[in-house]
Amino acid sequence: MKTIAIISSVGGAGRTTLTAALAGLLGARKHAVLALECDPRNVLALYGGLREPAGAGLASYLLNPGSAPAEAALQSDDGTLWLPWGGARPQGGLSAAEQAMIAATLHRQPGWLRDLLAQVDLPGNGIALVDTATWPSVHAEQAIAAADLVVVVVPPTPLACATLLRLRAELAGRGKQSLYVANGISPAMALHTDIIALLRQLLGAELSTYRIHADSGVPEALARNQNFSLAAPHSQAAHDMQGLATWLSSWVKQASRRAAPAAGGAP
Amino acid sequence: MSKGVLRNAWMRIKRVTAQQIGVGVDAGAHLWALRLAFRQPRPGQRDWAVHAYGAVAGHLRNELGVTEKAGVGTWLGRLFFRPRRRRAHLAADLRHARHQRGKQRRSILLGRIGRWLAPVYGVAGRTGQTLHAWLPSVPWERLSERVDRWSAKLDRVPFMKPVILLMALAAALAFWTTPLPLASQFQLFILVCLVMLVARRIPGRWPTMLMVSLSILMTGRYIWWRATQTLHFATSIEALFGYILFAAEIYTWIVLFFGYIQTAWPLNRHPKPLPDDPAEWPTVDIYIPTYNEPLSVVSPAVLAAKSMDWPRDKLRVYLLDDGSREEFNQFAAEVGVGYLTREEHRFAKAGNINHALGLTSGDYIAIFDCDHIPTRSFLQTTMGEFLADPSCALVQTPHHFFSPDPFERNYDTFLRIPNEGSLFYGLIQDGNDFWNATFFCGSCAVIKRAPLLEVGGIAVETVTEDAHTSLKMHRRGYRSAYLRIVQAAGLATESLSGHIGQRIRWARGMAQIFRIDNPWVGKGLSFFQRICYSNAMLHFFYGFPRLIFLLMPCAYLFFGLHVFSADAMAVMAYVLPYLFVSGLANSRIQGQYRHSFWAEVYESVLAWYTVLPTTVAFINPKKGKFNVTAKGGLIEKEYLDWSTSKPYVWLLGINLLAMVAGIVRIFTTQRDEPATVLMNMVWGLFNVAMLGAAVGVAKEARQVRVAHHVPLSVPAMLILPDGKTLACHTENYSTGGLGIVLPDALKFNAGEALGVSLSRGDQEYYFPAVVARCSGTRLGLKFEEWSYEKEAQLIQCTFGRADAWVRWEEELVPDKPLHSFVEVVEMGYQGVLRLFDACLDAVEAVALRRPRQQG
Repeated sequence: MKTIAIISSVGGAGRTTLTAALAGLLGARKHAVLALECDPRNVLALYGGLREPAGAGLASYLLNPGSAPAEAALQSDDGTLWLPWGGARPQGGLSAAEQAMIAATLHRQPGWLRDLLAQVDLPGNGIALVDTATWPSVHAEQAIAAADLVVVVVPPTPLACATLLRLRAELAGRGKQSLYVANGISPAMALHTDIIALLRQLLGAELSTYRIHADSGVPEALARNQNFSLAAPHSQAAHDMQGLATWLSSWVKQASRRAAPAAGGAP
Repeated sequence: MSKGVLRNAWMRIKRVTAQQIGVGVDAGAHLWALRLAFRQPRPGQRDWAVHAYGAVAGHLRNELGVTEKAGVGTWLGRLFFRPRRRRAHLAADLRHARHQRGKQRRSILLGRIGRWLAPVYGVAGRTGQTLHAWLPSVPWERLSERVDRWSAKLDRVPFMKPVILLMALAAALAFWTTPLPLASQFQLFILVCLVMLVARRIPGRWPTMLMVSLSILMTGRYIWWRATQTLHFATSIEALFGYILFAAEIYTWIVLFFGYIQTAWPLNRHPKPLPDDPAEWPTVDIYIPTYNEPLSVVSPAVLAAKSMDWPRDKLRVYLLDDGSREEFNQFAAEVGVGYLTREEHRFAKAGNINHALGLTSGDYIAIFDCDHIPTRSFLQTTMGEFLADPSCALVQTPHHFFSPDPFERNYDTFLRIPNEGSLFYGLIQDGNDFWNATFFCGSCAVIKRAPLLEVGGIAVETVTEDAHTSLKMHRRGYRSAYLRIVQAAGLATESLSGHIGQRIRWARGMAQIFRIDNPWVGKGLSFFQRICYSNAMLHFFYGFPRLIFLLMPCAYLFFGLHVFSADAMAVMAYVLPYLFVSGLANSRIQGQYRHSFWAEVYESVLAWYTVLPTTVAFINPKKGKFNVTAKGGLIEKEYLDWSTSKPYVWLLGINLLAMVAGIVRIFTTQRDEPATVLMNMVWGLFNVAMLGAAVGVAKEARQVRVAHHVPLSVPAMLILPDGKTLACHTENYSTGGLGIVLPDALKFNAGEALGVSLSRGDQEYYFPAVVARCSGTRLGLKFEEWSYEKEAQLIQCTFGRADAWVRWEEELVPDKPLHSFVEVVEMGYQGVLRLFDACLDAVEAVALRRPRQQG
């Protein structure tokens, strides 16, 4: 099983959207997929078809280490497993004290998520996709520590470019393989074209050739409670996501093949 | 006063009578007549008389084509004369026919025959496949490699080559001159044919060599026989015609042998790599000479040249405007290219380039006609050759046309049958390259500045300055290279008259060079270079021989002259093997670049027009003037170009009359030699087919669009007004718009604004557009807010792509001589029908329309 963290250095980059879309597309490529949310916003499960914020999830497990996290996992009808952050209660969210406690735990144990994922046993070329809060944060740190591959979502904004170098240095320092994906690109915008040129210059081969184009159908699909790639299969954005999913799928297969001999031929 | 009384009385009588027989006073004459014979029916009963009358009158009106209000005069007229109907045309609409036969690249006739024979084909095909699977396969490629190695080894033995060549010559001389009885000659023919038929199925160059050698042997036998046995004439008139025919044949033999040498071993050169460091790359000036072409034709070439992949500081683009137009000056300033113009306009294009040579400083000069759009990779492909070989002075690439030329348009053979140019750029230039005799073709080429200055710039003595310039450079010992990789494409000449004008210029120029700078005299050329150049020039002298062949059967059919003193059997035994074997050998060599029998069609069209210019230029090279080829026009209405086709109409008429004369002859005076009459008639029929095709080409088909749509399938993205995107593919493109294939049938309204994005590599370009038309999954877009920047971007995504034309050779269809023959005959037949239609149209216009217009 390989873990892919989906992070970004600015808010609203489209991490959760991309995580949910990739979960479905990788599932369609015969991978067992677990989409996991390490983000206190607790919205991932909404993409999976849940009508209201999830109550059980990682947060409840953190608060009550005795419970089994698997109990909080949900399964959508395409077979994808969803593990939301959780913590939603009828009268509101987590209290400030609980949030502080969770943050403290995560801060104290940087490898907490990695250890948790090590207990998960997905069959074959299984993939765990980890959606996180905006980097830098304890949540993003957890996801990066757990990840085999870090997918950095870059929206075409000046701020994203400004914070990118620091993030890149951080990832390089930790020896993480990373892939940068530009998201929400419109060729009609001169700024977007320029930023893409800048990113290509800056990142070279680390910038994915698959850039996700801006498409108003993406938020619309969420509002209609639809899977975007299935609802608008001919849209360019869906094509781009398909391309990215295929790339990730083959990366996972290659990485597993490389790891297999190293692990002494273990199945 | 009395008039009023009379009218009153008449009215009263009429009213009373009307009351009596039961008719309205105002009723028409027919009702009165009816009522006089038939009584008015009682109320509630049907009026049978009126019903019957209505039915009969309706039928008659329908039959005679008379309207209800027509007068008696029209009725009477129509009883004797039929109304004028629209006459149906006999000639098939080939464009329509293509849609009928779908994507199948076959002629209509062949399609029909093919359907009849489908079961036979099926059985034969299956048997062939079974046999093929059962027989062991031969590794031809490995065999060919082994032969290559042996021959290389043999080549190293001293004096081996001359000895082998001398022995071959001795054997050939013996073969040519050995007399054989007719029966043995037939047997030899059959044997050679069998070898040819087997050899043409084997891939590789050595079987080609075998076929060429056999063709040389059989042709030599024919020449020997022709020269020794057939030149006995009874009268001096017959001798005159006989020797004229013999001279024409000598010309074809020379061209045949030279052609074999020229195309013996096409070099198939590959591009040489450039140094890794772009700092070592040389500086290049790009010249785009223009004279009177509109800016819309010139701007794509300039923008594409400007965006070629080459270091910015080493690439300078110059627009050489001989028309001194302010619009061009502004355009050049706006897009940032140099603009050069001159006061006087001597020596046309050559003078224009020579003038620019003095004003620029690049080490190399790339020249493009103003309508040839280069790809981005042009310089990177061609320049390596110069760096690898310092004595190389010229690199030429093919001229490729993305629009159909008049032949292709008027006969709908575009992308189905190779055009006139493909033989030259596909094979002849590549063959020339082996002998280091590639010549400059005026465009899509790079020339090194120093050698060009050494020969005094572009040659100005002749109207084909390009070939002459390279001849001069070859004389100085410089080398040339030909890369058969299409790196630029342009528009073909639009009309037949323009096409012919261009060929006349080439023919005249080549004749001029042959006269004033003959490749056989003067220093500096190798023997084979002399052959290649002289064949290129001789080629344009085909006018006379072709006309002789077109008219010669008439000499016998009209006047009974025996211009070929041999009986029919002997002719069959010698002429047929020669024609058949050289036809097969040429089909093998030229293969996909020129289908069998099409050379005859192309030459027949041009023959008449090249005779005079070549003769004049040969006698006095200074005569004649330069004509510019018109491009970018539009034929709005289809018509038969009478002035262009006049000579062929005459020739066709003469040949058709000769057919009639032949039929008369066979039943009256020449009953003793029917075989001779028949043979001349077959020859005449072949001429009729060629001339029919030549006339048919003059029927200019209507062109639908101004901008040519070039097929191209690349991914594209649509951005809809509501912000959604759509992944789709382009189908074709032009400078004004884009054809899109949608993934799903969607409804767009004409005029709706859309965005479309194309990519070149990683770079995406956005073009605002409006919907021009939409049906099903096909969407036509028209670009909006057009600017030179956008145009440059579109060119980079389309015409300028390095791979834009890489597949041109794949699109060529291999030659099948029999198919080709049927196709040419069909074209001839359609041509005759077109002429017939056009004649009737003309007669109709003269007899019927003009008087009415006057009245």
